[in-house]
Formats: sequence, C-alpha cells, structure tokens
Amino acid sequence: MSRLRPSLAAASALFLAACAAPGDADPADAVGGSAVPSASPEVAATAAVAPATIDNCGTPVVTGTSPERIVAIKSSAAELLLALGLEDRVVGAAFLDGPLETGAGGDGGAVSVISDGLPGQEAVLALEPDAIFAGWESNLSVDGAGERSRLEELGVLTYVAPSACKEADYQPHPMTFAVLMDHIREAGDVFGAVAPADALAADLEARLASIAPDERGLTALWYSSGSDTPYVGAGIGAPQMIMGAAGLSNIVGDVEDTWTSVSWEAVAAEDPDVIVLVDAAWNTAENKIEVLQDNPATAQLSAVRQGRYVVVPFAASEAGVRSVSAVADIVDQLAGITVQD
Amino acid sequence: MAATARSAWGLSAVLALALIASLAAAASIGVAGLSLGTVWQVVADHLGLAAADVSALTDAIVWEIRVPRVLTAAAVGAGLAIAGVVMQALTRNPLADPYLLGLSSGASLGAVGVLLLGLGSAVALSVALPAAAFAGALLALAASLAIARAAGAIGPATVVLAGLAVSQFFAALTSLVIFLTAQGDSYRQVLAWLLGSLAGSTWTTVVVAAAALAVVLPLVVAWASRLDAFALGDTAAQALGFSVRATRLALFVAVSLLTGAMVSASGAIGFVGLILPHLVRGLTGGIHRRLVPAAALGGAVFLVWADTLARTIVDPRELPVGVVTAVIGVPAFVIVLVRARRRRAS
Amino acid sequence: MTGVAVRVDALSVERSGRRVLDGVSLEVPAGTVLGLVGPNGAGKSTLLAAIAGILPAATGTVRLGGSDLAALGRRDIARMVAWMEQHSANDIAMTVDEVVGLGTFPHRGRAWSRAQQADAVAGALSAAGAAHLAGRSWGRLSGGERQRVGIARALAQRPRVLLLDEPTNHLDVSAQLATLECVAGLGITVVAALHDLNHAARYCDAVAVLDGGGLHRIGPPREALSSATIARVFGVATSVLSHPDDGRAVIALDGHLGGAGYSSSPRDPRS
Repeated sequence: MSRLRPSLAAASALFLAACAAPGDADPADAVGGSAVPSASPEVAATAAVAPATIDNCGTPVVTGTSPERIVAIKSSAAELLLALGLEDRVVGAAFLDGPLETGAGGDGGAVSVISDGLPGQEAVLALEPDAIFAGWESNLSVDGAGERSRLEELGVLTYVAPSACKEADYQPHPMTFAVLMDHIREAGDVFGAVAPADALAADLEARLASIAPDERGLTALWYSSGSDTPYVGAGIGAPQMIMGAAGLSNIVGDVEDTWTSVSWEAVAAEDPDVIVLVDAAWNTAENKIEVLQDNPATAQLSAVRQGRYVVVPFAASEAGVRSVSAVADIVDQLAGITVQD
Repeated sequence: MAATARSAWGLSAVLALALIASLAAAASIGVAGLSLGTVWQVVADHLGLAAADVSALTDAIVWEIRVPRVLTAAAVGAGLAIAGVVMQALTRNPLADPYLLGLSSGASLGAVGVLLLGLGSAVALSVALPAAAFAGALLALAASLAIARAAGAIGPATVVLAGLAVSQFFAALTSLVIFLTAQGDSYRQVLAWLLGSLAGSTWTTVVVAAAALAVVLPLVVAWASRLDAFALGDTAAQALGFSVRATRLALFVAVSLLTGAMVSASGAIGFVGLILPHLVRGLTGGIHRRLVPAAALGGAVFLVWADTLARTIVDPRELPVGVVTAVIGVPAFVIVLVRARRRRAS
Repeated sequence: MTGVAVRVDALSVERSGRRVLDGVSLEVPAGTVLGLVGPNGAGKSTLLAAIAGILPAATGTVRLGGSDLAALGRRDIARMVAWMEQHSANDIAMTVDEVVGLGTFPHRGRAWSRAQQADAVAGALSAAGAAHLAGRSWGRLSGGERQRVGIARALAQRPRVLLLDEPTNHLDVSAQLATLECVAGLGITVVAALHDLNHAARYCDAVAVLDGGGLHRIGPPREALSSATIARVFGVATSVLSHPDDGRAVIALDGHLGGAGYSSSPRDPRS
C-alpha cells in the first residue's frame, strides 16, 4: 500500500496542476519524453483541454488528465492506445485477443503483456498504474482488475470502452462508425492525446470514405462461435457496423442485440450468400468451416457448398481501431467471391 | 382394482397416440416456415414411399435438423423420466432425480474438459464430446458408490449424501477448468452445454439415445414388482424374496448408463426426471408396471413440446431447453404438491 | 401344519464384526405364538432377521419346517416366511389392494396365476379384518388401519411363519390390541418381538426372554416372565399377579431398580 502513495501523490499533483491552470499547461508537455509527436503551436493551443467529467458506463470520469502509467485490458483498448501514440505510457497489457497490431505510435511488440487471462487486482496494482483502460466492462470487477469505485479511491482512473458498456442505456444503439469516431475522440480527451485522437479519427474517416462497398447486396452471416447453436453477430453491434459498411446485409440484422445465439434452421431458412468467419486462436476459421461441412444440415447451405467465406480476425470483430481495416479487408475478399444462383 | 388397471392402460394408450401426434406436429413446426406438405414430402421420400421435389437445403432442414431433433427429444425425455421414476423408488425419496449420483456434474466436467481442450478438429469433437460426457457420468457414479460404500452401505440415505458430495466436487472442478482455460467467447459454448440443449441432435444422437432406452427399459419393466417392493422398506422388501442390495446396485448402474447416454446427447436437461414421475404417478398410481411405461411416454411428449417451444418462441434465437422445462416444470410441480397436500388433509 | 415350525440351534449372528446373537437355541411349535422380549439391543430384531434368512448365521442353524434355511433360495424362504415391518412408509402411492398384492411377489410367475393372486389378496384382507378397506388409498389410512393392511400383506404371502418386529409401538392402545388379537387368532405360527410385557403375557403361547445376545429364558408367560427374571433382565421391580377371569399372568410394575440392577446390556450399541 505504501508503494502507491508516491503515485497517488503524483496523480494528485497532476490533477491539481491540470485543475489549477486550465489552458496554461499543455498536459502533453507536462509528461516529459512522451511519444506524442511535437505539436505545432496551433495544435498545442487546441490540445489543452479544460478538465471535464464524462459519464462512462455510469461512472464519472475526469478528462484532461494525462495518465502516465496506463494498464490496458483487451486488445481493443491496447490497440487504441497504441494508435494514439501512447505506447510509452502503457505499463502493461492483459487479456489480449491476439498479437497486437502495430499502431501509429510504434512497434506493438514492445508492450509488456502481464497476463494472458483476466488479471487480478494485485497483479494490476503492482504496476502502480494511474489509469486502467478496459475493453470490456466486466474486466473491472472484484475478481478482475478491481471495482471501479475502489480503484478511484486508490487514485486510479478507470475507463471502459463505451461500445462495451453492459447497461442497455449506455450501449450504442446501434453502433456506427460515427459513434466509433466519437469514442476515439473521447479516449483522446481521457488519456491526454486529443490531437492524435482527432488525427486518427480524421484518418479513419477518410479511409472509410474511400472504400467502395460491395454493390451486389449480398446477404451474410457473421459466425463467431458455437457448433450446435451458433453465436452470431446481430443487429446493433460491431459486426453489423462492419458488415453494413462493406455492403453486406446481415440475415440476423433485425435482432436487437450485439451478438446472439440462433438456430441453424433459422440460418438455413435464409441461406446467406456469404459467411463471415471470425478467426480466433481458440476457435479458428478452419475449425468453423469443418463444423459447417461436418453438419449434414449446414453442409447444404449454398455458401458452404461453394466455399463463399470471408475471414475476419477476432480482434477486429469488436469496435476499435481495426474496424475500418476490417471493412476494407472484407470488401477485398468479397471481390474474389462470385455468387451464382 | 380392475377398473384402475384398465384406466391406467388406457392412459398409456392415450399417451402413445399423443406422442405420435406430437412427433408429427413438432417436425412440422419451426422457424423455417415450411408447410406441412413439404415436411411430409421429405419424410416420405426418405422412407422410400414417394419422391420429393424440394431443394437440398429444405431436405436438410427437415431430415437433418428437425426429424433427428424431435426423435432425440422424445428419447431423452423418455429416458430421463424413467431414470427419475427408478431413482425415486430406489431411494424412497420424492426429490430424487436422474442426476442423483452426481451424474450431471460428472458429465459436465467431461464435456467442458473436451470443449476447452481445443481439439481443433470439429469432427473429432463431435465424437469426443459425447464420449467424454458419458465417461464423466460413469466416473461420478463410481465415486458416489464408493463413497456410499465407505459410509456404510449403498442404501437410500448414504447414496443421496454421497451423490451430493460428488456433485459439488465435480461442479467445482468444472468451474476451475473453465476459469483456467476459457478464452474469448468460448465460455458461451460451455454455458450452452451446461444448460442442456437439443440443438446438436443428429441421427447419431437418435441412435445413442434410443439404444440406451432399448437396453435399460426392458430391465426396469421386468423388475417393476421389485421397485414396488422397495416402498415397504429394505427389510420387508428383502423378505419378499429378492436381494435388495444387488437389485439396488444393478438398477443404479443401469439408470446411470441411461442418464449418461442422455446427457451425452443433450447436456443435463433438468426437471424432466424430477417432475414427470410425480405428474404421471398422480394418474397411474404407484405400481411401476403401469407407471414406468406411462412416465416414459409422458416424458417423451413433454420434452418434444418443451424443445419445440425453445426453438421457436424467440425466432431466430434459441432458448436453452433447460430453461423451458424449468419454467413449465416448476409450477406444475407446485400444483402437484398442493394437490397432494389437499388430498392428505381431506 | 403340525410339528415344529421354526427350530433354532446354537445360532450366532455377527454384525459389523460384533457378535450380536450368541448361541441361541429354541423351538416354535406350529400354530403357536412366540413372543420375544428383552431390552434394547438384546438381539430381538437380529433373531427375527436370522429366521427370515436376511442375516446369515455365523454359527448354528435355522430350520423352517425341517428344512435348513441355508440350503433354501430367497424365493423359497419368502414363500414360507412373511415379515411385517415396524414403520410403514408414509407415502406409498398405491391402493390397499395393490399393497396387499405386493405380498404375492414370491409366488408370481410360474407358481400362481392372476386369479390365484387375486384370491390370495381377498383372503388375506378378510383374515386380517381389513376387507372393508379394499379399494382405499394407502395414504389416507390411519396407523391402525395401515397395520391391518400390513398384516394382510404378510398373509397374502401364504406363509407358514409370520414374523413381526415390534408391530404396535406407534399405535394407540385400541389399535395395538386389535392388531395383536388379529395376529394371535390367525392360526399360523407367529414370532413377534414385543416391547410391552403384558401384551406378551396376554397374547403369546410362549415367551423368550433375550438379554445381551443370549437367550435368558423361554417358556409359557407365567414361567418365563417371573419377577426375578424381569428384575434381572430389565432392572425393574414387578409383581406377577393372576388375572381374576382366567388366571393368566398380569405383570404389575412396582418401580425402577437402581444401581446394580439396571441392566443396560454392555453390548447394547445404543448405550
């Protein structure tokens, strides 16, 4: 506990500094040696943010501080931090979904991974963090990294990816790329990387605009896991967002959920043109193809008979910085697929 | 007495007809919205009676999804009901169910272990999973019997307690395995299995479930009088002329094999084995020669309809069938309890 | 049936490695009622179980009508000996006829036809004075009625010997006497473990006093149930009087004998 006092003091000092002189100090400059590219005066001016409080999945979070020691849980959080150029400020990452994609800030391989599974409170606090960025709300629980209120008391800022809020009121309804950009900008506010966030959002928006979605109006199933009862992307989450942008029509699109379990009979009734396979280390795309081919019912789906598959890596299946690349990737793969009736 | 006997056989006949009608109806109901005619075309085609003019996909929906599913539901429902009847008789305990000897926890451990080991090949999984579930159930049986033996003898009281201990232990192990190995969203598949589901029914599960029934049901029917005698107490039953210990042990093993086979096909579906015996006993009385067949038929009809609800009520989603059996079963059970109490009081 | 229905020779029975019955020998003439009395743990239930063939003999033999029990199969024994249990289960979802019908179990199959089974049930019910209960549901019977049905069930076995293990403990007094009268008046051989000494004196042709696994005394009630014996075995002071009507033994309780007289058998598992 005594080890935390210095970081508590540091956090308080930062906090007070930020509160005491709004607009005077550039939070980014206060953190010497950060990986943020040196800002031009205009950007520096706009980069100073007045501290405000946002409502993050029901917990108030102060923006405008610049956490120095961030722990990232789940790939979506870690990759966003990397893309914002905050790699030097990430003291540890945990519960990742695969190898980290190199972000705008540097080589993702330099981030130390402290745990393959959900880390416990002690493991996280041993890193003396001043902020935790969680990709799932459940990461911040008593049997995980700790309860949010408790961590706040210890001077650790906690931030949950807003697209993953558990309470229905906070869930994006539906998730769209516009909402994603807002989330990126909000993360920039929270972690003191406003300029990079703006730049990132602008970059992603431009890239998204440049992708020509598939014009054929193909129907698709986003198959995430499960063999007897498939767990699939439904109408209001990231899968829907990505498929829509790629020009695919989700056969489970009118179910008001992010993901859901359906019956193979329902899938057979729709007979989707294309099946999007989520590729995870614990459940590969090849495995799913085998499941589809092995099941005498699904073997008759036209997409299975003609091998019309599109593969998406798991980390790209949750809303985050990879989502736009995922769209581009899907469109590319679709270009190679022909559909005859 | 003759009148009761006649009416009880009448009940079995009615239930048998109800089962046939239920199978036909359930096969025609589903989210794919196929017409009755289409469904029967496909069935007739496969039975060699007439050719069907439907797409391969429609054929697959009927013959590879629906028909195996309703048949498996019927077999599993029958098996669980019989297992419940026998367990309740052997332990003289109205709260006994097929999973008394920790069978569902053992099967869950086997299944979860295989699911999370990441066998890679889906084909291997479709064989390994039921086999592991079955093996887990037998392991739990062996452990329960061993503990009961160590506690004194394999009698009604010791067996219930031993089964409870084994159940808790295997459940804890299952949780541990999940905790240590579950990644990403693989826990969903595990959860679905633990809740019990007929979604994975194939012609193989039909054969497995039916075979288990075919082996165990005749034994139970042949020993129906012995099951009746158990109600009198161990000593009185023994004095009627058969070995209570040997009979009890043999029936525990047989019922565990039956339950293990059912669980391997569909996970641990609850409430059927607990409640059907009570519902049917209210109509047939406690003589097992009549109770067992009626319970089997009743269990089959019940599960066929519970499963039909589970797979159609939130189109296109699927409810785990264990949820439906609980929602229907528990109020039914309460009604039975209240009626029994009123009968005793009058 | 004439002759000796049950003959026990130097019988010893062990349970969990302990000798609970040691060197008991007795004879029960056919058609008579033998009462077994003794403190808890004396071995009454064990002796009954040994006669029924449920517990094996460690040493000695049991003979039923001349045949050695050890040489008989379970079903054969069940056709000769019927057991009436102490506590009837509460929740049997059967009718009276069905419960009584259970008694025909040893005779089913090759031995008896359906008609014969039905006959046995009807006969048993009337012999037990329970014919008026036919068709009723078991769950609704009173304790005394259940006991009657229990007797009927035992009789449906058409046994030569009827064994009862404290059949009246939980009944009120009129049901107790009704049960014992019925049993004594059946005309078959009865061996009954009894708690109440006066019941034994009233209804039994002979009484065997068991103590600590051994047979202390056996004989007609007046001989076997003497004050001295009762004091020695039960640790109570009594006066044995003569009933004014027929001179049978009536045991009046005088008081508890403290100290050395109290015999809680050293081998009583419950002490």
